[in-house]
Amino acid sequence: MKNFGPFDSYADALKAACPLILSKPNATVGHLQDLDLELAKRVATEYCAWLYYTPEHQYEMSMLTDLPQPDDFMTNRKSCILPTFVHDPRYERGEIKYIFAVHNHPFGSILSPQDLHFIEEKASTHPWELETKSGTIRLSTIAFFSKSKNPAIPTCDGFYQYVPATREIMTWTQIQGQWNRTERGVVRWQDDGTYRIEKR
Amino acid sequence: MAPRKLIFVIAIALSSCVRKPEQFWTPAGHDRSIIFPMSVGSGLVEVEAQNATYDLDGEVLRALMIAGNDYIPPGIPNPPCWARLESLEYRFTRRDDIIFVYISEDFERCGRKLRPMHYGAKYAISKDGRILRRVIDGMDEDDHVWSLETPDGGSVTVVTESRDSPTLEDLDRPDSGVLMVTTEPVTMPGVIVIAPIPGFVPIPESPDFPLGNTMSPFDDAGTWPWRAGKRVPGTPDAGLDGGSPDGGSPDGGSIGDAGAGPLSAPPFPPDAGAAAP
Repeated sequence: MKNFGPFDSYADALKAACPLILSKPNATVGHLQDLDLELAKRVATEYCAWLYYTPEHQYEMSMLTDLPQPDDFMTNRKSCILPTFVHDPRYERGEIKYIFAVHNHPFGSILSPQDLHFIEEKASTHPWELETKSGTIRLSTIAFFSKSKNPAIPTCDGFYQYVPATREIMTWTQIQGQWNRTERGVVRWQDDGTYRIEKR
Repeated sequence: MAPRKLIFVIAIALSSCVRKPEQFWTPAGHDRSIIFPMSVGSGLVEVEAQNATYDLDGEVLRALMIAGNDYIPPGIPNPPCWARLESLEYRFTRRDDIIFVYISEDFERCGRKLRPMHYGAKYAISKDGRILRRVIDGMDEDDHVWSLETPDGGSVTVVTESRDSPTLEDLDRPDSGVLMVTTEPVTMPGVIVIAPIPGFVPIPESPDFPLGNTMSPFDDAGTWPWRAGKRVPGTPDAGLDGGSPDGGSPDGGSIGDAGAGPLSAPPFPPDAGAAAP
């Protein structure tokens, strides 16, 4: 993506991606939620992208997708469709390493079973773990959220993260530039459709 | 994924309702006092088209129509495959005067390889045809379901509106925000149960523990059995046995983390390459 990165570390890439994505039109609708829930639902928009690792040992982000799916706006399902592969003309397809599937949750909701399914499905194509100059990184999905009620200031307040390799689920929150991992759990499947998260 | 196999498909009945859609449209309510069932009741039955014969009462059929028409409103000109009622999957359970309807999408039917990050919705519909509560995936906050250990070694399932984990003491307080307490086993697909384990303290970001760090292994992680050539979520047994025989496993974690043991068997797809044992 132009005007984004490249970054030397994935942490820096995340710190840049979070406010960028949340500042896109209607990426967070907390300000509307209490005023007009139906309007909030109508305008809420999900954006998604890949954060990936290049042969130049840099972290970059793909173009943002905001679902150009026709007719989506007419239905009650509005969600981002993230292509499995990034097209970066500088590199061959196999040279790009996929790290984080990032998106926003316009209402700040926690990860749903579909979020988990989504990255598990990507994990059938992309390696679950990869080596970078920063050490080993595991494929994961990330959902940014804002608690802001002011549409002019869509603050990046944190993100939820799920790592299919370890079935680990986490919340990272930011307060005035200080990031903390504030929740952590492991997902167990009772069966194919029911989950249990043990939180530590 | 597999849960779809268990979902009722009543496409034929629903496809007939396109002609007069207004009859099956109703504004959605947001009654948070209504709690979606934790259990499938006496079983989750898949309707097979071949042999059996089924009775379906009109109130349930209307509820299915209302849910389908709410999820995909009628009137989309030349709707693509996914935006048709027959491309949805339907599950329902009736509890007294409320019919709970779960809508999912049949991606294989439409030949779609890419799934959206969020899809599906669930509805609580009254027997007189009103949407009492609707939870659209990725949009509406669902209730939070917790499993709390009781002093006698058992457990209770607690449903809250808040994301904050409840305690046993909360259960007796009227203002605690607890919506429901039950000992009914959680068997409804798509329900996430959270079992809080006390003692977790937030960990600040640091150079050794960067933001988004994925290398903090759980001691019990990584038990994904192989099925049909790919890794799939483990059964309860597989999830507890600490390692599958074919899960070649280096000691995955290099960065230690408070309280966690080594990663016993991190899963790798056979052709992953990047992290071969």
